[in-house]
Amino acid sequence: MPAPSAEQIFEEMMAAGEKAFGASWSAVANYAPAEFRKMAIQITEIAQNVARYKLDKSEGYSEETGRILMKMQRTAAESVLVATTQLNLIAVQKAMDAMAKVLRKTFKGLVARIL
Amino acid sequence: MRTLLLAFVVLLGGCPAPLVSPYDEVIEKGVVDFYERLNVFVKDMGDAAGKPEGTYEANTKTYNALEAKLDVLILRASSASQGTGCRLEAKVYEKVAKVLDNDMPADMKASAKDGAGDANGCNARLLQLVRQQLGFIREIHAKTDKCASPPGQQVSCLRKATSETALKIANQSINAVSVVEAAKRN
Repeated sequence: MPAPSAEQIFEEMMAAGEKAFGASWSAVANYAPAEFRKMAIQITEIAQNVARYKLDKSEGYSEETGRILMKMQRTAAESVLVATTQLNLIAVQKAMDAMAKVLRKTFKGLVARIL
Repeated sequence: MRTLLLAFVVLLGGCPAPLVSPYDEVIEKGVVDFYERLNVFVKDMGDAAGKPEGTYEANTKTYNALEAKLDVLILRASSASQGTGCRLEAKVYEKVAKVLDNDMPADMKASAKDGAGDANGCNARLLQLVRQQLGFIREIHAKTDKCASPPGQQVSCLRKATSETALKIANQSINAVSVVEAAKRN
């Protein structure tokens, strides 16, 4: 079976991201896809470098190194995941702050009058 | 009516627990500084692969210094979170766990299970992940990458190709910290 291309990996990651974050996806739509694309490219780069090393020991890197680099990629995926969640929350927090500001302004005089 | 209105104003205008930790200039600047140092170091190691100055043994002090810099930032973020960890929003956690076939990192699973964790904990987690990346680069340099060095010896090194791939991946984790802090600042 041929190895999946970076584009195929990227499409799968995008679909998973949209599915996981649902309606909140728009808050992180600029950040996450760019990072998913980098991951997809890097995963194929690792596979290519391990293959190059097998042909010529002065090129690419060993399978052992490739395995650690894949672990690094998994860690980077977690970073993106946590950051994406945080970006969602920042968007919600900002919306809440803006809403609270309007409400405070609107109801301040009214509350003062009825109390 | 009066009570209802008062409750409404208190709820939205009061001081509920923030969803995200406040912007921290020290962390943002510290991460930028770490990014610069790591990038220069790893590129230099790629260039010095196979030379005495490119071996792991010749560079342990630099790794120690980079780790110490990150540890200071992690300590700062951890003290703000009181060690409760990072908890993903329940709904997001459920969906992500499903997508990842329940292959979630152990500490996130624990935080989700016991309901612990806060926004500051996620800051600390992001920095810990950067620390992990540095540990992986160190492991490759010390153990798995080998370069030919005259006369016919194999020495520890960071191969050029490794340094390029490792840096791109590590920068994703560093970038994650920067992006979050920048979003808080703006």
